[in-house]
Amino acid sequence: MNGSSFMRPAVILLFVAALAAAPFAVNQGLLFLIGIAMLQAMFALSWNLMFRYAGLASFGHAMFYGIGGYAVAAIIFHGFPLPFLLAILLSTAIGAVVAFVVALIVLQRAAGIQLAVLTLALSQLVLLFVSYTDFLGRDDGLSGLARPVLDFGFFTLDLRSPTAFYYFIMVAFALVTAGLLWFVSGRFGRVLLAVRIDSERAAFLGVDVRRKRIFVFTLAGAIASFAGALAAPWAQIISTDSMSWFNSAQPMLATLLGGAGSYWGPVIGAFGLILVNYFTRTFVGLSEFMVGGILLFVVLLAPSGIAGFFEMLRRMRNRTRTASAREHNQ
Amino acid sequence: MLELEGVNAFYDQSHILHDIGFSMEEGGRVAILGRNGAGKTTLLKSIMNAGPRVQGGIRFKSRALANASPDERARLGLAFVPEDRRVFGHLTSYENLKIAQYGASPEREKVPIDDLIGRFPMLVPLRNRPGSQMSGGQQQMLAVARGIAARPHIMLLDEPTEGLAPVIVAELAHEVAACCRDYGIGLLLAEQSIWFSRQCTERVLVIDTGRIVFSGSWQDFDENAERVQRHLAI
Repeated sequence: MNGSSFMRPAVILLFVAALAAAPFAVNQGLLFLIGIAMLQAMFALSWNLMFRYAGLASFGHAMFYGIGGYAVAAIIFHGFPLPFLLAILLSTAIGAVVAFVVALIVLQRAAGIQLAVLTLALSQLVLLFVSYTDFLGRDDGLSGLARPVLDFGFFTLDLRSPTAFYYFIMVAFALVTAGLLWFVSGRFGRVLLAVRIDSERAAFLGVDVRRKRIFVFTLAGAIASFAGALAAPWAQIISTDSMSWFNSAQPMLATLLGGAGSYWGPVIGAFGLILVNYFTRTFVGLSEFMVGGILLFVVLLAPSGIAGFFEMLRRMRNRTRTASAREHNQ
Repeated sequence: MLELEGVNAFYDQSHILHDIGFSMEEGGRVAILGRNGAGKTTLLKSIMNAGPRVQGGIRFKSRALANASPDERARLGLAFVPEDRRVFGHLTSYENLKIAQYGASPEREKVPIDDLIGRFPMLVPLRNRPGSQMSGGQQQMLAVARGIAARPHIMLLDEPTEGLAPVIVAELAHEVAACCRDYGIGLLLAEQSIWFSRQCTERVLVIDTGRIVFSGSWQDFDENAERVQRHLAI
């Protein structure tokens, strides 16, 4: 096993260990933020699934995050007799169905900037609808969402405890991340990359480009809804902010910061953004300025993001090693 | 297998192809010769529904193709290899060939990838090299191999010799002819090189200003050389 193939699993293991140890090492406030970071990472992964693997840039992805959040929040808030896990699945399914319908309509003709603007407009329409709906709490949203106790018969899982819910999110994050990685590393991921790079050529090879794009858009919508469905009970509140254009920008910023060219880029970026926000929180009024400055710095100096920067370092190290080995042989 | 009847093709208001009609049997190999701008590429693109607006009848395996999209036509068994290669630069040779099989018609047994790579000596050492790190000739070999990988009923090959060194052209001619013969693939080849076309096909169509002006065997072509050459000379 060479250095780089050993490094990646080691870093992932270290990351998982750090996440698992967090409830014992940090205060409740920071634990909450790490939970949000995992949810934002799932959200960003779903956005980059569309962007990197199908060349679709949506500016209204928060619509699906909000739909998942509102669906599960409405079930909890209004006391619908539905088990929590089923409520999460139902919220994810609602997000997937909405994404499918949007994809059917939007991907018929729109691409590039038209797609971006159309998805942004749609998300703002949904936000407007929610803000006028009493059932969904209008502008105030739904708050005081009770976290459930899961009863599996032979054991119960008390998610009212922040630590238990944190681990629940961590397991969900691990499953989504591993599942998506498996998905994009195989045959389907290769076909999607081919569609993004040259959709015309992919069609000449028999690939139904439109169907593939609709599928990816739907899957991305479902994952964003899933993240939103976990975020609402974690924060115990859902509001129209979850569907705002600002929230739609979060997965894009995370991807930009972490690196769109790498599968792990959005995860790195989501955690990076949460960290930056956390450490600049006391600079009232300056926080956004500093986040913007850091992003500008990354875009100018490492356009491939943090993941791309490390990849560049790795290549430079390999080149140096090859060169010195050649010199040594001579 | 493939029948065209009264096919006219347009780019906006420009009328490019005029009443094109010909047919190909299963496994048939036909060259389309013509000058630059004669309509060779437009003819292949019309068959694939890949750009021009087409009027007239195109039937493939007794099915009218009028509303079929390019990917549907590919899945029916038409493989189009355009002249600009455009291999997937981020994928290796092996992956480029594998992708061609994902969308292929399920009724035809696919060509084993390693067998196919073995047939193109130039590709053997490049099995795991990304397409972006290949020379033009290597990319052309890969593009042609990708057309063959799905074992289509007919491969539409557009100017494969464009910009290639003579030694590579000779190798390509040998491999295209051998693969089409051995795998039972029909070939519709748009070319300017008479030598290459002769190596790969048994029939020839000459097209000039969007009209077919000659159709016959290579023997007929030679017997009418003086008449035909008028339509090919610059």
